[in-house]
Amino acid sequence: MKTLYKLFAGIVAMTISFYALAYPGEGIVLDPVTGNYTITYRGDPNSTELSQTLFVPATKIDPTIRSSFRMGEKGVIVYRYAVSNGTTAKQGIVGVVLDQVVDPIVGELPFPSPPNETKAAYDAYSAALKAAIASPAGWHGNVHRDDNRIYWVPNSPMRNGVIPAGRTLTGFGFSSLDLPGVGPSQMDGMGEVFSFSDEGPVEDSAVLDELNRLRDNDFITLAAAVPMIAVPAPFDAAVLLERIQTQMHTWIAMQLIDPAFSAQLDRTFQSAISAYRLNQPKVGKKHVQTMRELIKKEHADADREDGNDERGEKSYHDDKDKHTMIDKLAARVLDFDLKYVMKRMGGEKDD
Amino acid sequence: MKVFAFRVTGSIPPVLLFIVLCYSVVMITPITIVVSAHASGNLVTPPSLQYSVSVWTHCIPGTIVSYPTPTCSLQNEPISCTASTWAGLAPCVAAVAGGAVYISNYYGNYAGGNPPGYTNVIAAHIGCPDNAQSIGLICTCTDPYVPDSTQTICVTGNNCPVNMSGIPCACNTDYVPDPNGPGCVYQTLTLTIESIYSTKGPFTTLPNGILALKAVVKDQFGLAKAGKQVTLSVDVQSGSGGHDHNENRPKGETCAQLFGVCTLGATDSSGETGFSFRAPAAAGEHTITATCPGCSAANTTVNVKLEGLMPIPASPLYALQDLAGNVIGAIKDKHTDNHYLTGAAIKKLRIFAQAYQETVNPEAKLYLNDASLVWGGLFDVGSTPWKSPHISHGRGKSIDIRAENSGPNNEGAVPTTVFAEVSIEAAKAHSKAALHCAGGQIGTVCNGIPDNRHFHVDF
Repeated sequence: MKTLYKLFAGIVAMTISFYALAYPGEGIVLDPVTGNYTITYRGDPNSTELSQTLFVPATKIDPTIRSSFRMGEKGVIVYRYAVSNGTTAKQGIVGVVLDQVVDPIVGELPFPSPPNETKAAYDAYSAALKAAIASPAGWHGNVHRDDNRIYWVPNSPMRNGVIPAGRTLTGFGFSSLDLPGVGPSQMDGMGEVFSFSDEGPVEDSAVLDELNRLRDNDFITLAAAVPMIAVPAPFDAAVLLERIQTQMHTWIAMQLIDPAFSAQLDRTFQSAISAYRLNQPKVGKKHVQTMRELIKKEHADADREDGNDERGEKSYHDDKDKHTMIDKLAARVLDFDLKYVMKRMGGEKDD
Repeated sequence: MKVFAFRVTGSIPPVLLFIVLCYSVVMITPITIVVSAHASGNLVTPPSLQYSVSVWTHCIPGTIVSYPTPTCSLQNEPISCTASTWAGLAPCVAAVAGGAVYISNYYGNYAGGNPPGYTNVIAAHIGCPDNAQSIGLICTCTDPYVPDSTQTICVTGNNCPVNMSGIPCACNTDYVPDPNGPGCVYQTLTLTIESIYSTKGPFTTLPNGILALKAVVKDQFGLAKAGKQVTLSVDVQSGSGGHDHNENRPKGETCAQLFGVCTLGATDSSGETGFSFRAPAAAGEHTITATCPGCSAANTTVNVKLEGLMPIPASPLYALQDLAGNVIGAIKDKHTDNHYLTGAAIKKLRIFAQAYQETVNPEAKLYLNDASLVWGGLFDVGSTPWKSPHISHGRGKSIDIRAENSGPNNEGAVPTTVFAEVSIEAAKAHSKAALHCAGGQIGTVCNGIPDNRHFHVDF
């Protein structure tokens, strides 16, 4: 089940490799040798003259992302990522994106808006982001809060500030008050600056629609640990368990967990939630512990991420031949979240 | 000495005349009273001379008689008399014929001052106005006619409720039944232009959009008026939609059908005739005027526009004007207000511009060229007005950013050294940046220094 999440771009490439005809001669053609697309289009609605341009996709990379997360001080969870580019990659990686980061990360300030839109406000915003987002040397991080997105790009991609083939770059990270879930990360490579020798394809043309689809999906998607589960304040173990359970349910569609295993966990989730609701914390804790044991049966080292190591999912798939009921990353995330509940309810030790 | 006396003539004995007189007085009086009451359709007086007057005199052969102009009266009220055509001798045996009725005496003067006899005036009723019949001396309106307010002619309608006539009673021309009571009232037709959902304007439709409308004709009571032919005309307001140029400006069209015939049919039984308004590609304020015979003209406003565009606010992150104070991209007398986007696009622009200023090109501002016009729609560029579109600049989601080029406008341009960074940052903002230029070659069209190079960013 590893990286089944992966490669929207591959699907898109298959989808795009046809002539999207609207006007005679218009279309998008994939060159299977170079992996580039030739766009033939009508640049003037009042003319039948055709223009051409070349689109070099940013998906000629072989990325891997490793997520780590640990408890920090005062309930803060520290997230770190390492990104590798496989040796077969033809492009260096120039973008690392995490989506679905719904809540602000620790230290993040709101983007300045009128009337507080001054240079000083922007400087303060930028300084806060620099402090809040850890970036490797030569890279910088940013937040697009409306899109729930955190991303990193190299400061100077044209001066080899990329992750070249066969290299790993560590040091991407931030802190959050939210527990991890499994969400999408996107990587893209160093394509070419896309250009037109005119105004581009006619609006509403089929070729423009297809081109936009191609460009909108010009990245490779991988699963990563992303802060997605808000911890209720004041703390409520039952509510948090419900949220963790809801997050787990999303993994079925992502093929990160076997539905039968999910159902097995569901029963224990319900028992734990009921126990906490009935103010029986010891009973609740036992049920949570039961879930952790079930996870451990699948991945014995599911609780190893607590250390501040940078081992990624690739290295964790140490039992490749074994059929597991839950993806390794998902197992680590779920175990971490359940352990968090136990800690908040009075420690991990058995009563 | 003038003596008044009845004299017996040879053929009309005074006694008979007396009887006739008495009979007349007896009969005319009640008839007159009836006329006064206006209850029987009688006319008080005929509208014109309706009586001829004959004069009898005492006929003495050989005598010379002169007669003054007779004066006539009817029940002591003066009436007109025709001049007597009698002169000289005449038979004294004139009969009361043709319905002639004795009215009163006339006293004539004998030439010698000594009346040789007596003179009687006989008035003969010779006709009634149209739509009246003679009953003795009385003109009586025939049904359904009635005397008018002067009681000299017969008119229709008074037997019907007000503003009605005919048998059976019907509203007169241009009148409609009064829903509040009997009779009819003057018809006032109201023409309106409504949506097919019967909402009133002003309406809004997208550039190149189609709006389904209808013209509705109703009277003052809200009753539908069928069969009215409605005519439409369309105009577009100069200067609207962000276009400062108006020559040969295209405007919307109205048609009865989506495609084909553009002539409207007459209103149906609901008083409606439907039509469509086809908006042009260029935004602008249109006025549709509708007219129909007997109706007051109606007009409505159709704003051809993209809703939700707002001006890009001033910001330290980017420049909307160059150092000389000129709006970047503005062209005098064509488009001088060219910086409108959707709210979402503005947000993305600001984040993108902040990243540019913070990391891509520290301390630099993006120089913002054309975005969209105030109402979106066709942003015509080039030498053919209203034709060549500034592609993708009609929806408030795209903007041009000045990039280093071989042309004259390089102030604030994105330097070539950071073109890649701009593209990458834009992609991270869920946006698409592409270089546009003129004079390049396929594949690397804008990597040299061609003219008019700029980043086109779709948010």
